[in-house]
Amino acid sequence: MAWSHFFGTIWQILSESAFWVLVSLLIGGLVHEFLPTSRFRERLNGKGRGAMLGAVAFGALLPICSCGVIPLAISLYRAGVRLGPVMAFAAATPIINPAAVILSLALLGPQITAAYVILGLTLPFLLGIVAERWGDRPTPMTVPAVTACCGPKAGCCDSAGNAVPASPGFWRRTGSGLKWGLTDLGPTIAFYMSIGVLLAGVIAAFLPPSWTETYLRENSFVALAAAGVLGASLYVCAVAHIPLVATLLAAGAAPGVSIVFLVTGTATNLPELIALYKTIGRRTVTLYAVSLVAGAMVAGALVNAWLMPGFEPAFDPVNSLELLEAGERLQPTIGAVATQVTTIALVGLMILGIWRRGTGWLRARRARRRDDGCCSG
Amino acid sequence: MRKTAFLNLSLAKCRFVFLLVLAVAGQSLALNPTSPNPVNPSNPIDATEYSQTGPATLAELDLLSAALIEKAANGNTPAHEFRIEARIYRELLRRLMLDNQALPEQDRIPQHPLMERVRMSALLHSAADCKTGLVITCPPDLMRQLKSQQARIDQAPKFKQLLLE
Repeated sequence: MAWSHFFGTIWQILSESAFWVLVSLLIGGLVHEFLPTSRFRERLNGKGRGAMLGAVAFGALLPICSCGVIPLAISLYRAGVRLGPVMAFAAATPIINPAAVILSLALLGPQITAAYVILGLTLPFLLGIVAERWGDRPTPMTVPAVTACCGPKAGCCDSAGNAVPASPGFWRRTGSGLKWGLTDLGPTIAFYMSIGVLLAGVIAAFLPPSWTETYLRENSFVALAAAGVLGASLYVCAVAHIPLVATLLAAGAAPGVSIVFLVTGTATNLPELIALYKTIGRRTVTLYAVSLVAGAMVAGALVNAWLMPGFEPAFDPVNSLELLEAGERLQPTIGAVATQVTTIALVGLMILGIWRRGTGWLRARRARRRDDGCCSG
Repeated sequence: MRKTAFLNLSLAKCRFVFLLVLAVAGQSLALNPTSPNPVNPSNPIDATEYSQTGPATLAELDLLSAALIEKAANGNTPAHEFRIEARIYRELLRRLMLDNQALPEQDRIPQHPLMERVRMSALLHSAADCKTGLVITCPPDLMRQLKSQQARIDQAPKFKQLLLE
C-alpha cells in the first residue's frame, strides 16, 4: 500500500506538472535571451510596489501549477528581475487563476471564495515584500550599455569603449534561448525537482490516509499548522483540488483550515521549494516558506472566527453546475498523448540532470584526490 | 489477458445496464414524488423506454456514480469511456435539476441532495482527468473522497424518504 502511494504520488506529480514545466522552460529560455536587453526589465525593476502588483496580477492570470512556475521564476531571477516581483509571481501563479476562482464559487460558496481571492492576491504580494526586504542579496546583473555604432560590420561599442559584437538575428536568439531553457536550465531544475518528487512520494507513503479528514475537521491551532505544513509539502493543484476541498467542507471541515490547505498546498510543494532553495537562495526560500505558512494560518484563523460555528454555505445547484462547467472550460485540458510525451521528456531531463551532477561530482572528486596525492607525495 | 479484460469490461457494462433498468423499474417513480403512475413490478420498463419516460432520478444517478467509482478504482478503465460516462452523469443531473425546477415548490427535491450530486460530478470530472496512458488511475486522496462522497450520497434517499414522511 505504501509503495503504491509512493509511486502513485510520483506519477501524479510528474504527469500533472510535466507539460507546464516544459512550456515554462521554453518561455524561461526566451525570457533569459530577450529580457535582459529589453525595456520591460526596467519596468519590472522599477522602484516601489508597482512591479510587485504587476507580478501578482500577471501570475493570477496564468493557469500554471507550482512545479510549472519554477523555470519561469528562475529565468526571471537570472535575467536580473528583482527578487520581490519574482517571489510574488512564483506564489501568485499557482495559488490563484480565473478557473480556480470560478470553481471555488461553484463548489465552496461566495464567502470562502471571497477569502480565497483576498488571500490569493495579498499573500503573494506580502511574500514578495518579505523576500525583497530580508531575502538573499541578488548578484547584480549588468548588461553593457551600447552607446555608439562603429560600423555595419564591426558592431557597436559599449560605454567603456569595448566593441560589442553585432547582435544575432531574432530567430538565432530565439533558438539560443530555447536551447538554454531545455539543455541548461532544464536539467538543473529537473535534478532538484527529482529530489523533491521523491521526498513528496515518501511523505505520501507514510502519511496516514485519513489525515485530511482528521485535521481539516478541527478548528484548532494544531489543525491550522498541520494543514499549512503538510499543504506546503504536498503537490496540490488548485483546480484539481477544489472539488476535494468542497467534499471535505460538506463533510464538516473547518472553512479556515480548508483555506489554509488550499492556499499553502497550491502555492508551493517540496519539488518547488528544493529547486528554488538551490537556485535562488536558502534564506529567501526559508523566509518564503515560513511566511507563507504563517500568513495562511493567520488568514485561516480569521476565516474560522468569521464563519464558525454553524457555517453552511447556500448554493443554487443549477447555478453551481453552470459555474462548474465554466471553470472547467477555462482550464486548458492536456491530451493523453501530450501528457505521456511531456512526462517522458521531463523524466529524461531529470536523468540528464542526475547524470551531469554525478559526473561533475566524480570529476571534482578525482581532481581533489589528484591534488591531495600530488601535495602529500 | 486483453481478451479477459474485454470480457470483464463487457460484463461490467451488462451489469451497469441491468442495474440501470432495475433502478428505473423498481425505484425511480417511487423516488419521484410527482409521478402519476406507480411502477408495477410485474411490468418493468426497458432501457429504450426509460430514455423517453421523463426525468432521471436520484437513484439512477447514484447507481451511475457508484459504477463509475468502481471503474475508477479498478485501474483498467479506458479514459475515454470514463469521460463519456462522467459526462452522462452530469447531463442526467442537469436534466433532473431542470425538471425539478419546473415542479411546484412543495414537490421539489431539496437543494442539499442535489448539491451533493454536483460535488460528485466535480469529483468524477477530476477523476476523468487522471490518466496513466489511456486508462484511469486516480490518486489515493481523490479515490478516498469519491468513496466518502458516495457514502454521503447513499444517505440522501433516506433523507428524501424522511421528508416525504
